Amino acid sequence: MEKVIGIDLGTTNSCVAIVENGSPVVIPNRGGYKTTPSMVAVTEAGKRLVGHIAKRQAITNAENTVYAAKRLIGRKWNSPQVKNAVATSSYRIVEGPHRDVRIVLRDKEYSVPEISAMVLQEMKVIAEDYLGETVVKAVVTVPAYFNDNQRQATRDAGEVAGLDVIRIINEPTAAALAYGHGRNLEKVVAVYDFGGGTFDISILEIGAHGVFKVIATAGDTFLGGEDVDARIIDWLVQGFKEEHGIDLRQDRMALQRLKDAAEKAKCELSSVRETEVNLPFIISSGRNEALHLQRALNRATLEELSEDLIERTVDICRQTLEDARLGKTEIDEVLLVGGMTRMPKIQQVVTEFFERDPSKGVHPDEVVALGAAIQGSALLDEKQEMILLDVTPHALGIMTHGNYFEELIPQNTTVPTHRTKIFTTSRDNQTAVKILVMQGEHENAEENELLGEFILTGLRRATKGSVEIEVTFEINADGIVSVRAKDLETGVEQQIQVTATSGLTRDEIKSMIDGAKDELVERRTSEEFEGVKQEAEKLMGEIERLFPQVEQIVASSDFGRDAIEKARAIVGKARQAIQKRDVALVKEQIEGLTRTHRMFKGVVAKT
Amino acid sequence: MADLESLIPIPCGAIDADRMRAMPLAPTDGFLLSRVDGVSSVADLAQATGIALEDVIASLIKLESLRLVELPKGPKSSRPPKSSRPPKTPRPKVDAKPRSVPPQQPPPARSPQPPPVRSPQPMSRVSPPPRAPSPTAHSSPRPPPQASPVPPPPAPGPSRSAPGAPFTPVPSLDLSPEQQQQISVIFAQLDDLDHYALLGVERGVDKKAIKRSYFELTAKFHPDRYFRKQIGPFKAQMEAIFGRMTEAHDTLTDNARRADYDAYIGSVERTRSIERMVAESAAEMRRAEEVAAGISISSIPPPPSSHSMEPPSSASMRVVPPARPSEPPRAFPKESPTGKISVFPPESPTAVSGRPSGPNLGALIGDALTKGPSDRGPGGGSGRISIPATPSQAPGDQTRREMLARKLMGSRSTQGSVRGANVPKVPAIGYVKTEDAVDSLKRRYEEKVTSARTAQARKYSESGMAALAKGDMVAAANALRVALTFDTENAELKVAYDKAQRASDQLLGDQYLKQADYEEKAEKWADAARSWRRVARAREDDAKAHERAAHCLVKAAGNLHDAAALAQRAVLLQPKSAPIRLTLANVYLAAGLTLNARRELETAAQLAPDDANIASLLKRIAKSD
Repeated sequence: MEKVIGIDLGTTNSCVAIVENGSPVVIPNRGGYKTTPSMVAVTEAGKRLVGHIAKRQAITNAENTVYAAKRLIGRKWNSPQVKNAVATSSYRIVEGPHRDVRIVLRDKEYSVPEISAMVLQEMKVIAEDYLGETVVKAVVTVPAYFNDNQRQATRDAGEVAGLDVIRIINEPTAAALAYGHGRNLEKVVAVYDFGGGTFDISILEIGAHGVFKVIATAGDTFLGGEDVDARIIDWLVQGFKEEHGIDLRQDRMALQRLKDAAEKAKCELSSVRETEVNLPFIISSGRNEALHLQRALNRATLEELSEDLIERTVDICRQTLEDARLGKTEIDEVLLVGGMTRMPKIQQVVTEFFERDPSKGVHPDEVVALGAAIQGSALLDEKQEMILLDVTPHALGIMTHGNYFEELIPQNTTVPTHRTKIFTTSRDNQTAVKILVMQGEHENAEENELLGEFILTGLRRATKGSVEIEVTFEINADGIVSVRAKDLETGVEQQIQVTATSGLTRDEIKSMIDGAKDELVERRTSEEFEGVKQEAEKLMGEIERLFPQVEQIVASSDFGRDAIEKARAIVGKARQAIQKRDVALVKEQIEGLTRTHRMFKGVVAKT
Repeated sequence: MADLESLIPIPCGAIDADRMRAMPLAPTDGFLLSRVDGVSSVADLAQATGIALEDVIASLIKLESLRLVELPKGPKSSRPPKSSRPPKTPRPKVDAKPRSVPPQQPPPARSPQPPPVRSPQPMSRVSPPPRAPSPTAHSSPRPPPQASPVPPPPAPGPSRSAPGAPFTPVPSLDLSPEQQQQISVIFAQLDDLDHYALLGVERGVDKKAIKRSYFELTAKFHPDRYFRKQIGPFKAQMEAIFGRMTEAHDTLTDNARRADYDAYIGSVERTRSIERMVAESAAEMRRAEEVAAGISISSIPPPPSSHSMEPPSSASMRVVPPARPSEPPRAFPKESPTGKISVFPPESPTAVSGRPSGPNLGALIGDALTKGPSDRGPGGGSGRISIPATPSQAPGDQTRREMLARKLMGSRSTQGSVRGANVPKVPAIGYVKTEDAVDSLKRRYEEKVTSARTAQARKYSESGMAALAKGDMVAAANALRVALTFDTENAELKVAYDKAQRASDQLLGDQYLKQADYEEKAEKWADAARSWRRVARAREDDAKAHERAAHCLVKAAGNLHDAAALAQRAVLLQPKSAPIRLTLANVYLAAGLTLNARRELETAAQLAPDDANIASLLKRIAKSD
């Protein structure tokens, strides 16, 4: 069977897993970490960095380092979330050609799916290195509350990364899959997923025959650990302003350092009661001296700062239980997923709300990727008895006369599904209707997400209300929405498959795919070069450190002087090779450098 | 002998409608003719029409004489060529002459077997050949039991028989033919199965059982089972199946929704069975009328008292046939040349039927009727008259036959009777005057019909009264309505019927009311509109029912004229109700009649000045002007 990986494309961290011999395992990256920061950067030299290295250089290269791109994916430029991100991000966000969002790195504009593709590609490479073979198929997870545009953008990102995304599944659902996989449970499970950027709650029923049925799901795609970090940053910035009268937000580099420190402090406070934020030389005072930020933060303060955010998650939980028509006592198990659930206050609140201790059985950072891998393998392997029944997180419908939203498929409807409604014309002698396909829960159509539109023409001229049009919505098992409109009189029919707009055109995606391929080749070779370069430079450094000593020792010997000359020549050649970025040449010089180094060390040791 | 009963009459091709109208047919004959399909036997026809076997036979004799049906004989006799028949107007015949066969006729020739091509299962009444569903086709005088419309909920699987066309698997798919069949069988039944049947569970099962079944079926029918496999059209079918199963599961696992649904299917079933009963009783009435009409046509002036037979044993509730002036029957002409026709001249059977040999119905009738009381036909055993028949019968039968022959023919006929079995040459007919025979036949026929009617009327009025006493108003109304057709003059019956009818209308209205409420809640607007309209029909003075019907019609984008009429009626009933006027206004708006809408809204606004909806609608109209 062809290999399929599961990727948890997180806001702050991503994780990749695969099912091996029937059990799912997380694949560690080359650093040995099981999760990889979802960060992308472009260096001064134009080099692209993804993951840990991107994170490491984030402070010094704040303007060209993208974090939390997931919060922007599939969103329109004029949405409040994007406005918020523009104000708080250390990187530049601009409007794209299709009212979408672009991120500027070193004067080049990148679409958000492109940035996410870089992360996905990194995960793909991690899996390929581990497996020693190419991997194409993947199941990618998204927050349950993502709308179709956001899902489509994620699909596009996968395509740009060279992946065949066989299915997009919801993160909390994936977590439940990993929890219930192969355990033959019959339980109702609530998954409380509080991640870096999003909050989701899903209630699932795990039944016989490996069926996982989502009963209800809800969430907030702009509520996560990032928001808690922002509260800490606010608190630090405010304190600093009171003390020094300087707004740290004006300095992008200071902001990036603050962000790092806030995240670190937040994590530390999950295990200790108090921590210190210490950022020396954070900013120049303007009088030729540097200012330092140093402030103690305790758990109580953090809880106070994030109280309303946590309260919001509880409200959503309450609403979801209602939607599921379930009482708290009917929940058999509560799973905690996402880094934020390490916060003691959150554990306490969840325990209080559900009136039971959450399960300790799942790893909050890895469980989602594991579930994705399980779903991938179950889809491709006919022998596995596991079926996932997910729901539509948002209602689907069309816009009707007067800007009303007429719902056809309600929230929390199990897919695949289809619904039909009959509409009429709204004007006399109307010969065409425009069907605007929308997603959301607002009565006011404009408040909802537009997914697509098409026109049904050739209607009979008649008074308004007398021509009947039958509209059918269908969501298939792959989550593809198709909408059909039919003139009941003539039988004329129009149909579209709603490919939600990720903000990119097909052509753009195609050129991005090509670009990503080139980048992959370049990255692969440059990685090798970086390796030999570092090795050579290390040797050269050692040699140069020893030069004065060796010179002194061999000064009286002609032979020694020759040796030194020869060593200088080798170092010079190595430098040239590095400058040419010629891997083979550098490798050659490394040999000479190694010999020289050994020789130098010998000389020094003997005397 | 079952010979006659298993005969299969065959319609004689298409008959010009104008010509047919000119024929001397009674409605019963026409009705029977419409049922003759070349597949049903005489017995089947009697059962299907509910007409007493002897009446069916009498009718068939007439139809045969008019050459509207053919009665094929044993395998030897082929259908005679049409050209061999006498041209033009067929002469009226008295085939029904109660006399036995010509003595020369050898018994084997008289046991006709259905032609092999015609009837695959001539005697099978358990599984009659499929025929178009017709309310009259399988009506029985009894009100039907509360039959569930749900097909038996078998374990879902290949055991379910496929409705409709036979299934042919599609090759070159990643699905085995069995899997394909399983899917398409269930898919084909989706619209007919209720939630319980679809999930293969009994009505009363608990949530757990429903879930267990749903999960098991899901594991089988979810399209992800065949992810990225070549399953062609089956993917969409599986999606549809899965969607319906999920709907069933979601409804039945929610207490409130399940209760609603149970009430809904319960009331659908009740209304269905009520509708079926109404349809059946209507059919019954039609039949009763046909019978009545048939009698009046063929009835003749009372026979001379000397020929009168003993009154039917059940004469206590004797019903007088409709007092219509009796006309000279065409089938049994009073002044007929019967005297000259030799009814069964043994030497030349062609004179009667135009056929070279073989028995005809007239000859066979005796056989069938001597078979004794049959449980078929509304007449039951009462008033049944046996006719002497072939001497080849068992002695017991023969004795009875002789007795009956005496009854029929008067003492004179006894002479013709010959004791002892297997005496083929009984020239009985020779001793009876033809006029007498015809008269007695007519009398017998009339007597029989009268007593049948009496029995019918009594039976229906009894069961109607019983139902009334039990409070089953629907059954009571139906039974009494039928009884009234037999006994039109009975005032007591009439009062009882009116009472039952009113109550049953009310009841039906209640049923539809519940149904309508459910459908409206479920936003099944077209269904709700239909149900509300039925409520409105049952309760002509119910403003709400009319208003709701109009409202749902608009929602369902239905006929706006009807909606307007309903809403107008509602306004008429309750002129002071602002919401009703609002609905009418909405109907007008939907129909584009802005001026009318405004008028209604203005009146409504006066009635309810604080109603925001009315105000905003008025504003909208003002803006659009």
